[in-house]
Amino acid sequence: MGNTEREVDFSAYVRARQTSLARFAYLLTGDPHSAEDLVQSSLAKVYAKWDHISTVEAPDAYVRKVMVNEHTTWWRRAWRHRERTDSELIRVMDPAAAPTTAHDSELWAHVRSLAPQQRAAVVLRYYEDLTEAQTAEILGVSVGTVKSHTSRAISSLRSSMKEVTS
Amino acid sequence: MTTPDQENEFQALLRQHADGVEVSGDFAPGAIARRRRDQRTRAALGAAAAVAVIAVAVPTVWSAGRGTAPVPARTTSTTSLPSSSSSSVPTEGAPTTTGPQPSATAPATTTGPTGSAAPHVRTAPETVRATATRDTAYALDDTLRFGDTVVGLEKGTVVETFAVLGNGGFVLQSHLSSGVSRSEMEILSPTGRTVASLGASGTYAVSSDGSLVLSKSGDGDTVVVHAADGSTVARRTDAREVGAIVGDVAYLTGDASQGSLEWDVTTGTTRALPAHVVAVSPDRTRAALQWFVATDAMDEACWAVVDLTKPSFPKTVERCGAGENPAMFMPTAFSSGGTYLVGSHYVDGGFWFSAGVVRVSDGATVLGGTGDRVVSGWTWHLADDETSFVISRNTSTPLSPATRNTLQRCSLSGACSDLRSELPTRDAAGAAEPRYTLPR
Repeated sequence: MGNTEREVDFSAYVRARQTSLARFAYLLTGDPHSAEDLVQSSLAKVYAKWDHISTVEAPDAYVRKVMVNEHTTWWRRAWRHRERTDSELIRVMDPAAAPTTAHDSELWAHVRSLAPQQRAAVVLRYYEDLTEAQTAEILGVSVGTVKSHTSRAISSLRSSMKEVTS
Repeated sequence: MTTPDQENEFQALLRQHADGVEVSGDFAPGAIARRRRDQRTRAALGAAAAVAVIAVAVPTVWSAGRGTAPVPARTTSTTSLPSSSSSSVPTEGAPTTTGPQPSATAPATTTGPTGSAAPHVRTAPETVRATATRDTAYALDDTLRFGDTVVGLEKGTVVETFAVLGNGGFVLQSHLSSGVSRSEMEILSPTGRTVASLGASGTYAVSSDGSLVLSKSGDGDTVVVHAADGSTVARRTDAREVGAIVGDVAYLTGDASQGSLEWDVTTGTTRALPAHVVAVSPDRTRAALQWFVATDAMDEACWAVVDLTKPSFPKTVERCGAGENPAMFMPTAFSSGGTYLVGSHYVDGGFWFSAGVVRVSDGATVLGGTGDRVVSGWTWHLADDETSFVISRNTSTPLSPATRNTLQRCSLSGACSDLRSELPTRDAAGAAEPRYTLPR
């Protein structure tokens, strides 16, 4: 694939999928600045291998895997992630579908407090609606680990909700 | 075990928050440009590492240790702003002059592939860029700015001090506003990438041409000289502190028991100097000393200028104690031409200082002092012409508590004009912090 052809093909894919990717990134990171940075840095890596990725049946799975790995890498870095990318490409509106309750706010705060891989497991399972096997494939872990991640996440959620309400 | 209800609740919450996310641009051009820039950065770092390896062949340069490879470069967020209009308003009753505004210098020519970023994507196309200089650069909150260019730092970064390097890069000393965060020093490339970490809670000095950085981390007894590209030029184990670096000669400040040290970083040769050297003139013929004398009442601030061309280092000027140095002037540097010492006068009870300038030849105070001679601010520097200065000024009335901050250009006679809009100071745990920071 030539440079121009690769660029056109990649750009078409990104434009078609960027809202979905931005939403996934927002659920992983919890803030629009980091979400934009995550999408862009992940897509830069995807572009580097686009000749290969564009030929697979489900590029989304590969892209999500890159995003999860990139986010986990950020979290593990000993040094600070110094740069800031303003959220000029991503806007987060107030949840309008339903009134936000105190319970929802606590629940969302809890999701944001989960460790990156645990949060990724929850997002892949309950937002992306992937099976445990698909989630395990993206995370690079066993199905048992996915079960454990999601179960612990909901258990700790239940505990924290009890603390809040008691 | 999880129940279907709990899973449904999770699912509804995640979808509700995800549905609020909208994309208002195109990620593709930025991602492509970023990939190309990453490739260029890797190539540049490889070149820097190669230079460092060659430098090992000169043992005297690497006098006391190992080289430090540049830390991995990270992405940066650089964007261009529309040209801002700056006001020129009289302040504090001073006569108004219209000084030159910070402005972009001529665009630097860079080579390499052209990035194709969309106009509002913060990934910078690097074909046409302004280059930061000491005259054009300033920090506003967590951004470094020069001309129409904005380099975004991590959100919540508080810029304590910074300097502009000869290649358009920066030395940045900063901390995060949130949580417990130590002051960190690093060298940034012209686009804001970290090319060298200089450690935490330390001090640094930059040569007047911006080619060398002398630093010492607060965690150890190693002083290091870096080039502007982040490569290590020389290092030395020494308990003394950073004093100054003039050309290829570094000056380390020692107390009375150690004395100060002159260290030629290209040959490794050293020379013992008097204690308390804090600044050296551009021609290396004069050094400024600054020390305190403990008294029953309080510490008295003293300063002196010594002649480095004579073996006994005689003092040519000395001001010590409340009688000779009532405003407690403390020098930090020589002016570009060596005519003046610049520094600060001590102001009791403020989180700001009063800018000060004294004449090297006779010690006369040219700027600053007490009472209505106070020039209150946070960071500042004397221009190369030695007739004007730029200051991140405390424009509050009264001066304390400090509530207002702006950038001003002033003549040594006190005529000032605003360069940027006045802003409220930032509250940091009850202490007022400036919004603007100027390079050294």
